Amino acid sequence: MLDEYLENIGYSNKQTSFFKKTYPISSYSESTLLYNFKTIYNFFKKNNVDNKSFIYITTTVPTIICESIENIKNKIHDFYLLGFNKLEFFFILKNYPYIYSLNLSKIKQKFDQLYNLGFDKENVHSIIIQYPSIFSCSVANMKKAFQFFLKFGYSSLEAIFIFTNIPELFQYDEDLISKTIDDVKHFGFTNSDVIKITSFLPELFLSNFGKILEKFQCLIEFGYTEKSIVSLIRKIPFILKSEYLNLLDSKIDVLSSLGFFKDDIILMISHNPYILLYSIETLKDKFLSIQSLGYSSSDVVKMIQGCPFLFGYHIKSIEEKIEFYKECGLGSLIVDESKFLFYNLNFIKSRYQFISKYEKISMKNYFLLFLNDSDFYNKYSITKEELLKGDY
Amino acid sequence: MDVLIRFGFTIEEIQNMMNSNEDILQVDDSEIEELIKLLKGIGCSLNSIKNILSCNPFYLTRGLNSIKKLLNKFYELGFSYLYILFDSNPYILNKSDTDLEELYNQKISEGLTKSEVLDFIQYNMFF
Repeated sequence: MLDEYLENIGYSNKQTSFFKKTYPISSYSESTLLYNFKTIYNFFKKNNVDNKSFIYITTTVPTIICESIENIKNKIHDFYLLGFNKLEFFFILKNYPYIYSLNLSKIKQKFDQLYNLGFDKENVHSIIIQYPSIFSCSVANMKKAFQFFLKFGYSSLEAIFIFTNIPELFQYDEDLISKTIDDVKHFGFTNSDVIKITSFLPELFLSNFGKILEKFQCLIEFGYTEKSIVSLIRKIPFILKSEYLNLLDSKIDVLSSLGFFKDDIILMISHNPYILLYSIETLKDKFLSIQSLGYSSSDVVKMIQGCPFLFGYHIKSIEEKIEFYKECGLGSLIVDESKFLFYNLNFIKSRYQFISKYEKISMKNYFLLFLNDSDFYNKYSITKEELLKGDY
Repeated sequence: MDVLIRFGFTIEEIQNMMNSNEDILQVDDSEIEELIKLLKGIGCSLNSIKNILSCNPFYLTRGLNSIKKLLNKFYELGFSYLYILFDSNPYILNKSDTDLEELYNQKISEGLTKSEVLDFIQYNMFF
């Protein structure tokens, strides 16, 4: 009866024999064992533990079969007091069944070890959910792993962020972490670059950096140098994420199809590397939206070359600025002097209002609108504050 | 994402932001609300906030404390009317406070005066 029941759940003959030989289970009668298995299985099933997980839990910690449902509920309650709900308890149990064998004080000890390193309650909760095996990590090893990062130059906050996101690093071989760091530095990054990049993307420690950099091959074939790619990664470490890397060549193709030449693309992206992070739809839509404001595609190419941020600005912001400059009589300059569109409109309007008291803005003196603060002050003896408050 | 809708973002605008930065999905609505309130607090209009987030959806995944530190650094270095700067150059919000300080110190060591450095950062797209 017991053998048949266990076979129906999915236990192998080997696993069934294992139970029958393991103390104290071996001291139970078959009918008691069957009753226990059924009760605990039904309780776990109600809590969304599937057969595969149930087998894993019970073969890893066989003594759980000797527990009463009351005891299991008490354990769930202990975890509730530590901040984990029932769903989280079973998630942890499925991933690290040994947790069941730990008493409350042992679990609290692990919490304290992490608090002592500077992790807060939220970090600790996240670490345990992501990596319940942290309970098998000794405090000495945890301290050593944490200290390694601090010695390298990470701040405490940066190290906490990295370990909260990749808690398995607590049990990583120091040599492996050093190798990842060396791999990154090999490509021309400094220690401080490594810290910055890995603080953005701690998952890099789990990846092969060389393989990641291979994805930039399409840019190298396009005309980028390795040095410019290092510079690109320094500016936007996000680009190392696969969702961007996998579309690099497609984005270059889209920019080419919109009418940008190779050298223009390289220059434009060096000025605004975020272009490579926008979706293909966003790049196309923005281009077409600017075109719909009354410009040819070659005009739009020129405008974006002059002001690469145009790929990012909200189209309404661009439209309002263009309307204003047209009203001022400067509309014909927009294609060639698209850097106008960089400036905050309300700020330029304030300057326009002020300058108009003294002279009319025309094609000859429009540059006055775009002077930096020092030059504007030198010309008009008015501070930015006075200008914006209308204090003149 | 409800908080973005409450602030007046359209579904299309939200979708565009998420297409560029899918990590936005991991950020709590309460944090997004605080990040937007920070921009409102320094004088950004709703249209300006839409412009900033359209350009730089990565702002929403910077973390509130990092942004607060960055803002404090801007003020410490003598910047004012940050809403003007952020509307022109939303990407500057991705810098850390140490990045900003390093850039400032680098320019000072190159011989620029304080006001020249502020002008360089405020009126320069390419750095």
